[in-house]
Amino acid sequence: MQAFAIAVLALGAANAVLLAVLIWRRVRLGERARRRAELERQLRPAVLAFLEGEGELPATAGVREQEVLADLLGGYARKLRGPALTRIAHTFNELGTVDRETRAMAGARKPWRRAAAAHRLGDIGSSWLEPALVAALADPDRGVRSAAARSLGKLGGAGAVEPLLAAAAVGAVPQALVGWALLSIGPPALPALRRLLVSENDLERAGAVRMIGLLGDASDGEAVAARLRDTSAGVRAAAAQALERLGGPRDFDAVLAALEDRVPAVRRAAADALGRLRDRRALEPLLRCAETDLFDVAQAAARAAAAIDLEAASSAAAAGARPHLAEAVDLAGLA
Amino acid sequence: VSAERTPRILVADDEEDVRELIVYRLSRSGYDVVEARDGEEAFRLAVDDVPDLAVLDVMMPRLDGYELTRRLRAEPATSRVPIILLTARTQEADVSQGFEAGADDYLKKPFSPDELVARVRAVLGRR
Repeated sequence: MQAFAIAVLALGAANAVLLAVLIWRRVRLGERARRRAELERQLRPAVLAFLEGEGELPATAGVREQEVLADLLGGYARKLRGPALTRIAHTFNELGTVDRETRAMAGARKPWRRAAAAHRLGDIGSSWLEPALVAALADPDRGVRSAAARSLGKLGGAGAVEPLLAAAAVGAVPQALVGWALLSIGPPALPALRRLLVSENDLERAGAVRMIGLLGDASDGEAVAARLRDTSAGVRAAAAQALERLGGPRDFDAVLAALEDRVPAVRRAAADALGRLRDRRALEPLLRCAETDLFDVAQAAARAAAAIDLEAASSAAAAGARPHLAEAVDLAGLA
Repeated sequence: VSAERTPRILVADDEEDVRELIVYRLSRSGYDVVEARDGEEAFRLAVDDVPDLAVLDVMMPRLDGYELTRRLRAEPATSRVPIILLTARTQEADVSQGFEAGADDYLKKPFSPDELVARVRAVLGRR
């Protein structure tokens, strides 16, 4: 009985201590947030004047003040272009922030510190940081690699294209993030992407094809259409998808041939592309494909056929039990 | 816009740092600026005291920039107020949506404050 009472008391005491620690921590975090907000309020007028070229930044002695100032400038760097952004980049360099954050990204013991540094460096907005950020794509921590990929996209240097796709190919960085980064780089990424069309790595080729499909133009159609004969089904499917946007009349035969690919994902992408190309020669193959058993492929083929010739698709749907065609005709009628 | 009176510009953006920067820049450029934190506040301010021009963020809580533009156009007092939309959404469809709602101009984020002032001057000069 006595042991039970002691256990209850010990448990109660432990709970009280835990509660006290939580309250203390909450108060401390609140106090820190309040001090930070106050610092931001004090520094902001000077930052605004500086961004407009009307004054110097205030001299900041403490690390905390420097961090708040860097975050304020970094926040504006994400939202501004032109001379104001150039002023921010020069300032970060002169303040030594670039050096400090570059060292932190490469050597800080804690992953969150390396990731925060990688993120901050992207907001500084200067291309000379590209090599350091590319090196961070090999960091053992995924958060750091992702922050580096995001920053490379933000800086917009074409030199980052190949390392980014290589990182996505080995799963070091999420594909969607690399896609965002490459779209941020924009058309300057195209020369490197075109070189990667013949990479030895399947995933790099597929990534390059996908991004050319988004960033390229009709002049890329021929090179992308050639990837419809790639040994990798992933590359072939990506090529068919890319041709949905890039493809022109010259690419028709290659896309039509992909409708017979042994991999359903490629056939489906080819059907989508044929629907966009709107060449009547694809109508009969698409109608045949719409009767096949694979749901996705048949549905895509039916919609493509309806896009090319609604009347013919409607007649074919009425001629037999062809649910995908009937659905596609109904949807086209609603559009 | 009268030559004697300082043009009055309504700035609506829920991002405080962007709003403050725009207010600072336009004020330094000689405009009388009023600011709103969301679409509803902007609509109320615009109806209470009709501005000479409005700079509206598209992505705002309560009332987005497109809907706010439509409401300002539907209100007799504000139907002719020039509107510049400011947004990170720059797909072709987004731009079309802004003009269809009744906007006079469109500026994408990240933006240059100098460009914003140039657009403000151009739009005010057209009226």
